[in-house]
Amino acid sequence: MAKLGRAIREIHSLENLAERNTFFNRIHPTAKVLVTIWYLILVMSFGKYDVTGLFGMCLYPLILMISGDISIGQAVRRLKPVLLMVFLIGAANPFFDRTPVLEAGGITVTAGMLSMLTLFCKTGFAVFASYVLIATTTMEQICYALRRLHMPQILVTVLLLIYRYLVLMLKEADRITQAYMLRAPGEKGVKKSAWGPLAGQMLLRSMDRAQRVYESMTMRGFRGEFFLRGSFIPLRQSVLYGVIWYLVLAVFRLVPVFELVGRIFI
Amino acid sequence: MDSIIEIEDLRFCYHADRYVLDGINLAVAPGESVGVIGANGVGKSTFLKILAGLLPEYEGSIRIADHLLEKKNYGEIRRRLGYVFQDSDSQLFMNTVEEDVAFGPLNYGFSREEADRSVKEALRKTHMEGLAGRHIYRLSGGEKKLAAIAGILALQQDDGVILMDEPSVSLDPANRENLIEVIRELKAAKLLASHDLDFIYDTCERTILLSGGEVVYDGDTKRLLRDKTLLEENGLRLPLSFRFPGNI
Repeated sequence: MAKLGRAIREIHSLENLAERNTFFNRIHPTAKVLVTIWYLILVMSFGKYDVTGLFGMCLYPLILMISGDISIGQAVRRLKPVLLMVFLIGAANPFFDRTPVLEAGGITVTAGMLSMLTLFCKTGFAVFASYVLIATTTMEQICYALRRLHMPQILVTVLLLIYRYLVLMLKEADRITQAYMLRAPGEKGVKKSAWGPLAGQMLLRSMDRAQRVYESMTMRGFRGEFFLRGSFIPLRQSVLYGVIWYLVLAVFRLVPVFELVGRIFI
Repeated sequence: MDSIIEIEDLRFCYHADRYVLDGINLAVAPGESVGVIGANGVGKSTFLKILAGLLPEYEGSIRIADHLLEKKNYGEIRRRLGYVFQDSDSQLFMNTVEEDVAFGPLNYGFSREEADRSVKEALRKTHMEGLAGRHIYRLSGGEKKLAAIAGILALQQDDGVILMDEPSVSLDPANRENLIEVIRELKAAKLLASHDLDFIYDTCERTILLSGGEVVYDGDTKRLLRDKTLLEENGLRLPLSFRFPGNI
């Protein structure tokens, strides 16, 4: 049950990352959200065997993580479950698609292997790019940016509330399981017979708290709009940041940079 | 003096067969500090929630700052009325103290400069200047309570209304004392619902006692808290400060 506590701490430490005062944190959120969306579109647009072209796209999250002082090891640890799931999804490809494509060092590389690698890279890069966005931008800033991009108010509000209620639910789950464990020493996990009442209680309590949070928001004039707070770099620099990444990523999408560099040495 | 809160024949029920509040009449003057006491389940929190517009299906008439308490006036009323929840954790939802306190002003269309000014002022009034950038989850219980109050004050002028539900609950003596000091310094009208009669004594000059859905006492706090019979008849006990002669 310590897992729940750990999950709450992880969320808070991500919030801490997003609250820092680094250059990347101070870029206008709309620019960061736009670049991330552009990146995701480009990554997903690669063909299923286009591994070499795709490799170039790893530079975006990598550069941001290194220059934004975001620990890569920690990111891998946090995203482990997602990456593992992606790996499991793609793991079947080599068995289904055994068409030989090339030979490398005496090993026959099949189309299935390539498509597995592509799928792994695509999803991995997308996950890391989203992580970089979350680690440099608070949820309120992301919601603000989405509103600026004319995403419907109702969707953005739901996104924000899900995020807030998720934390509340985790906290309630943590409390309720701690109370259970203290009165059920020696037990591993929660007894099946207690699952129903425990889940019910947790849901009721979370709904109660969620209701209070919402009441508190409406009491202070919340009508679904988001406001930007904090100090940001001048807007012109944020626009420049967006334009540069837009062009660089487009080049990496259209030109197989890694392949060209490789040819220089062969 | 005109009243900032006027309540006439207020009735409210959660279930049709039993009225939790049954014919409440009350007028509160600007700047007045009124304690709301009563046994468990008597309807203190319900009373405050009705005033905050969180339970709109009431009977009777309520006027707050010259506006009838009805949905179309909520925006105007809530601009001048703040509600401090019993559980501060539910009230604070932004990342840092500063962001949370600025939430109200920004929603009410303050410019960024105005919002910053009102945040600063609210934090000063609650002695929280040093904690502006602190993360909410790193605050102690007492600090959370003060941050919640600051969130209310950031929206209000001195002519507003503050409703507080069990403000002293789970505070240690030092934080409790600090909170008393903060509340005493606030110039807005205040309604404080609490079981902590010593706290009510320290913060309210006037107190109403709720019992059976009605106001059974409305007057001087000191007089009420000395009336052992009346308190015990209504499920309460003498506050500790009054039990030992010479304390007061």
